[in-house]
Amino acid sequence: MESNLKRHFIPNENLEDDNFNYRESALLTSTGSWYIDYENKKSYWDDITRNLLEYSSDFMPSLKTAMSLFAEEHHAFIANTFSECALSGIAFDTEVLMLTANKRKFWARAIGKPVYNKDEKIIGVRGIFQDIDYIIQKEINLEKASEIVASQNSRLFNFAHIVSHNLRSHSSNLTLIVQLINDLDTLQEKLELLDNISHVSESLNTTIEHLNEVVSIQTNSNQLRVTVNFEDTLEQVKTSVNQIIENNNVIINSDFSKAKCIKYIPAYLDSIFLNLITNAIKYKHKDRNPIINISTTRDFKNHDRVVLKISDNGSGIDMDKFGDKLFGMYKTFHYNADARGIGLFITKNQIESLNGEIFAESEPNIGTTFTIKF
Amino acid sequence: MNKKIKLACIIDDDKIYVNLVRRIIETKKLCDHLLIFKDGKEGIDYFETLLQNFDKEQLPEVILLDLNMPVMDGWEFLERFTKIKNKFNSPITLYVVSSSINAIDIEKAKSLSSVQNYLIKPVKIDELEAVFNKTA
Repeated sequence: MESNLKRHFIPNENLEDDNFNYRESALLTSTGSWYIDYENKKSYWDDITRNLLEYSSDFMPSLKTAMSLFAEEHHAFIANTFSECALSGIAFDTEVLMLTANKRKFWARAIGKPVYNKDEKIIGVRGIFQDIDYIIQKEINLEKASEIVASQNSRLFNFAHIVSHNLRSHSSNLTLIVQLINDLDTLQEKLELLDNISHVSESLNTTIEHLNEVVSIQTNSNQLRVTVNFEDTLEQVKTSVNQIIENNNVIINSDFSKAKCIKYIPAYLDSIFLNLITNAIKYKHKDRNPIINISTTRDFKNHDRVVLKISDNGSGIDMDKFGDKLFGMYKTFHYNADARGIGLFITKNQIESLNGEIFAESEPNIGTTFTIKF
Repeated sequence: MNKKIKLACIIDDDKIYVNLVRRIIETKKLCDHLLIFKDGKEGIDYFETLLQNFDKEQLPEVILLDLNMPVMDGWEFLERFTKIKNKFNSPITLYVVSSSINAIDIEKAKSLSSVQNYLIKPVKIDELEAVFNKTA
């Protein structure tokens, strides 16, 4: 017991032992030292560097393979930084993505400075690597969170604009009716305007229903995501619009082999399929039967994000003219009587509320392709 | 000095608004005939066809143009209309009538030479009277 206590206090007694303290702080801060000797073409690591980079204690570092310590995307940057230090004596303090012996990537702080001989000639570079992965990861998460907040904010702003614009057109019609009622002389004429009031009230109700739909998307985005199967969702949607598909001789080809499932709100995936499929049929080309191709892929470069493509051979739209309005509310580009300009607006809102993206490519008379990154 | 306007034109997709303005024009007898187009495409098609088979009787003296419309909006109509306007050799006064209170829209419209003025919906009855009397 007594000896244990004693042992516990040993560090205090050794406070003046520089080596011990440097080592302790290097260990606690995950900081490894290294030295590159350009004269003898050799490099030296301490055991913390070996540990950091997951190499065994008898590993002999070599200048030739030094690049393999860094992630490929930083090779050019590192080559430049080290040669500037070795040739021009420019010290560095930077953040770099490193690669361990086990090919694990981590963020490190790399500090280096030139070492001179008596003749003021640079003979080496000395420095440290410090593992700062957890700090950078926090930074990245913070950036992501701030992006989400910014996009939510811009959607809110957009929504406020839509509300004010859509309600304005009804309120201005009401004002016009009131003006007319005041202006007209006979009761008969005044009564004739009642019909207009009922029209305004109907369209006002429709607008508010649409706006409610949008609001509910925002609140529903907190719903639990569950694993949804693309094939099953497509089958359900096909069944629900079976009549339209048959009447228009629609062919739907699908290939979900690259990504079969996704964690999503089932009702949203239903609605995305439904809106894009009915859209493709609604705006079919007048000279041919609609063919809709649906497929999924994974974006390997982007955390294996699932990507859904829905393309048709329909009448297409002129993207130069309408591209920026395609997903807007009450924007219709065709003469179809049933175009109500709400479907794509809802689809985009649902996708964005779950931090996804939707794009469209289209060419008149050729067709349209919608790409959704979940 | 007041020569009554014979033909005016409304380009607007809001049926209720068009109905009400028609009522005002009829009640106040602001013009003899009224052309109504439900979007910019219908409107520009009319003017482009009229240019081919010109008939002065069919050319409106006043146009009330909405901005936010399906198929072809007011901006695109203005772009195409400005190109052919002078070929008619007859004054056509165009007012933008929109519910947009966006300052950018208002400035942009007013800066166009073919636009006489920008009226914000709801238009007032006396505003409409002024438009028709000024033009006449």
